[in-house]
Amino acid sequence: MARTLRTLAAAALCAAGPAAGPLAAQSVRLHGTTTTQYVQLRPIQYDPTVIDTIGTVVDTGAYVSLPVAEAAPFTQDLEVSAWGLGVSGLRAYALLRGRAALGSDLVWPESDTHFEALYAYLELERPRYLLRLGRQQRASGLGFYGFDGLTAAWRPLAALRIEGYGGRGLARASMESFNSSAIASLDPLRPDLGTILLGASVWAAPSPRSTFTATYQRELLSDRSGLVSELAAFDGRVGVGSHLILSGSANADVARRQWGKASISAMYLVSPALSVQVEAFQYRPTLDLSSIWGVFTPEAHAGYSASANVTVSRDLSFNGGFTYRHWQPLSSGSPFLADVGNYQRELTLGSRARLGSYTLDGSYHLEIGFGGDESAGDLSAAYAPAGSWSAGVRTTAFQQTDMFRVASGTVYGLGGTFRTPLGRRLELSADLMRYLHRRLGTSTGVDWNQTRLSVTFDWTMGADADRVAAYQ
Amino acid sequence: MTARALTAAFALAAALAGSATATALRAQVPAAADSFPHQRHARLFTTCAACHAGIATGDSAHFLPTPESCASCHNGDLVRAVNWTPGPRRITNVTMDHAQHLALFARQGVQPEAACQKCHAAADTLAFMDVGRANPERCVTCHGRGAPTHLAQRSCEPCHTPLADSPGLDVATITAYPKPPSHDSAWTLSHGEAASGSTCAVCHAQQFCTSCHVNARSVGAIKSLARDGRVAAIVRTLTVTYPRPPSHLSSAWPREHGVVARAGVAECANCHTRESCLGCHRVEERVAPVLELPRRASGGAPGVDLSGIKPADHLPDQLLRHRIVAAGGTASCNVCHRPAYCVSCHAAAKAPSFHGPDFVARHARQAYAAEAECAACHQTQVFCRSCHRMLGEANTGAPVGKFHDKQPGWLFGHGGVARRAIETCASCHEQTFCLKCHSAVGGQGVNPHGPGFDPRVASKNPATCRLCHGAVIPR
Repeated sequence: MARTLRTLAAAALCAAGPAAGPLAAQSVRLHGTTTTQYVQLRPIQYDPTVIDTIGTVVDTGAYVSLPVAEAAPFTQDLEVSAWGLGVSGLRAYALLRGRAALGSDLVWPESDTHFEALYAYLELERPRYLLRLGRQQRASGLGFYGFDGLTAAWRPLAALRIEGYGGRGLARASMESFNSSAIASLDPLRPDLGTILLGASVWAAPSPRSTFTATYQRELLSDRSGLVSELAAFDGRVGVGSHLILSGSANADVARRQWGKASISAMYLVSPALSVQVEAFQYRPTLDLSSIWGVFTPEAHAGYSASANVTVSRDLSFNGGFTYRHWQPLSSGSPFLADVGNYQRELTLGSRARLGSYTLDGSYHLEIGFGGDESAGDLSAAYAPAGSWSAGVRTTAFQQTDMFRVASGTVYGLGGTFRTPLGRRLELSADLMRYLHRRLGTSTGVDWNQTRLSVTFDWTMGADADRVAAYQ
Repeated sequence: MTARALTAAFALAAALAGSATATALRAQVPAAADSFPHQRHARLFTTCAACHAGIATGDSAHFLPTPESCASCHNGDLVRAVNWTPGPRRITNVTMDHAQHLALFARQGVQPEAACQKCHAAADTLAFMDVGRANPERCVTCHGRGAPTHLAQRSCEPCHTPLADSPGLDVATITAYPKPPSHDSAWTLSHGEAASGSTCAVCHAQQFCTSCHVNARSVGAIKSLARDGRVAAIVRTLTVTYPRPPSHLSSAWPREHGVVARAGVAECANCHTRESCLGCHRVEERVAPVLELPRRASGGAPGVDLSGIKPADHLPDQLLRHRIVAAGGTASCNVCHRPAYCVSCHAAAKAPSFHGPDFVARHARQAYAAEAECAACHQTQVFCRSCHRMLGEANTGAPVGKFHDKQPGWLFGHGGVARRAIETCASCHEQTFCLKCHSAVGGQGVNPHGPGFDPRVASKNPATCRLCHGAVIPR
């Protein structure tokens, strides 16, 4: 990491060097988010001496609950934006994250990664082109890919942009290189090599409601001995008249010569108060060639969904949706696998009502089919005077039945939220929930008799620091 | 009390005695409120100067009669006694000079008593002493310069002094100033052309303009106005709303406004601060016209707040289905959003809002069914596995299949489920775990390749194949 930062700093200095002329009107803005969480958890552990009974079967060895453990992860995000560096359109941007575990019994995921640079780049933007050098993340139809390198974008027309990007690849959504020790400790078969990420995309927006993006991306091992992935994505949206929006997207695993995820949908805006949407989709994960997971030949599933949003008035709205997923029958079927269906049905209902400064939200979610069943409801009420503090209470109840594990139960939760500005540049928010877990079976699972608390400070300082609203 | 009684008596008398003609005229040009029943005294006085001697001479001490002069009749013997004393002179910003007007009327041959009627009666044809306070509509008959009514005039200075020169006026009086008909709903957008003379200063002070104009410091017409504490007190209670100009109503405006802004932001700066634009253009240095706008000043005009505005392609399902728009990378999202905005969900310090409440407890089913693609954001080996290990759910030494205790024959049937949700397997199991069986050289030789497996993929990354097959990869 230190080496990476040194490299980035050197690159930044080289890029800024030619611009080190009239440094006038420099501005720096800092935005910080400090988050502390308190989480109670009760892990499980396999005990080979315990006699376990499942139905009529008596077996030796079972999972047992460990004592309640506590975790208090602390996260500090710092966003730095600096401009006025002597060249029009040049700025430096960084989003840094610090982590720590405050007296935790448990090692919260990634809390031992004490420093992380999510973004750290120099950017030069002109009306016709953009250059970005440093650590960055590429968001596209393929997902998020981080890399240390260069992005170059050319915009010959206002509605047309052609981009190319490349550099040292980082593990997805983790600002670690492929061969970092953090990842190797969790998966020793990961290649002991870094990766090189290369990609290009074309974006066009022929009308305000129509956009098309085509992306091609190639990720290869740093010694060029093999591919990690070779992917392409197409995303498009077309506005037909003022009421109909047609959308489609597709991913292709070019290396395996097969389609990945794909969807096509139509949204009809019946009126400003009513919109309905139907969608048909297919899902097949696109997995790296550097792991064995892809050779298990993941099967695709397909489905469709329909949803509607009804806004009765500015203060009352409803939404609902239904999704159906269907898998092909198990290709490696086995009489030993019980009651695994080939479908899943999902129903969601929600509503929001507002009366003055009071808001009432309610939602219900029912899921039946592959993976397990769930019935869950949430209800919250909040009081939020305009432009001021807010406070609310939240209740939840959900019942789960797991298809592959005897860990079914019902959880009830009650808690509250609070938010208040402390001046124009500082805001405090907090969220507290207490859960009660009633297990239906006798088997042991992770316990949800627990308390969860998070406290967040959000602050801004520097140039245009009064633009706090834009950060929220 | 006496004044109220007199008023009531006058009102009753007027109601009983008023002729139809007089009533009709009053309806057209009502006399201003006057507590004194002039008409009832018409037979006692032949001239106005009998009571208002100072009017003609400019002697303000004798504009009104003294209590003694009233008591000469209202002494309780001849007529009932009254207790009247002249009140303080009404504070006004009218620059009316009685002596000047009387002299003018005299030059025109108007008799002195008729001269008073000219302004103080609702019409010239009314009876002597059917008068009251002068009505501004009568002033307009001479001073209107073509304007049909008092408030329709475009210039106020001949009769009224600027607000700054009327220190006696209180906040309530200024607040109650009538709004001219020109100040209709369209006035806000067009008043700039009229705001060039001193007319505005009759009713307005600088603070009134600065409550809306974010560029007040650079507008000459605003700078020429005096500052006034009374107006400052009034505007503090006002809620500023900015109307949308016709050009802004077009659906194409969000795309086209850049061209207008690049041509010059002088007009934009009337309503828009730099912060207005930064609701969308989050990074000001990218857009030169934004830097030319004034910053929002503490205590100054708020400027148009566009922070919640959404472009046309942000449909109602934007939060869950923004992939298609976001696919444009720097071409789309980064125009308005900072990277930190995306990170607030996609790499948040705590669970992002789109996951819904209690997601950690409820995500297993969603993961199995791939309702959302976990790997789009999460490095499953790191993110999922580290947490599952911490909780003891991941493969941590228990016999194979023991965790999946609702499926007693799990070991023999897991293949089909694995093909449906292989990412879920990887969230707990390392590759080495699967290779215990699914390895040609180091395991049990159980073939993991499902239907449709394309062996040509071996050429893409032979190292992966060698994990199972060793040095010799079958073709």
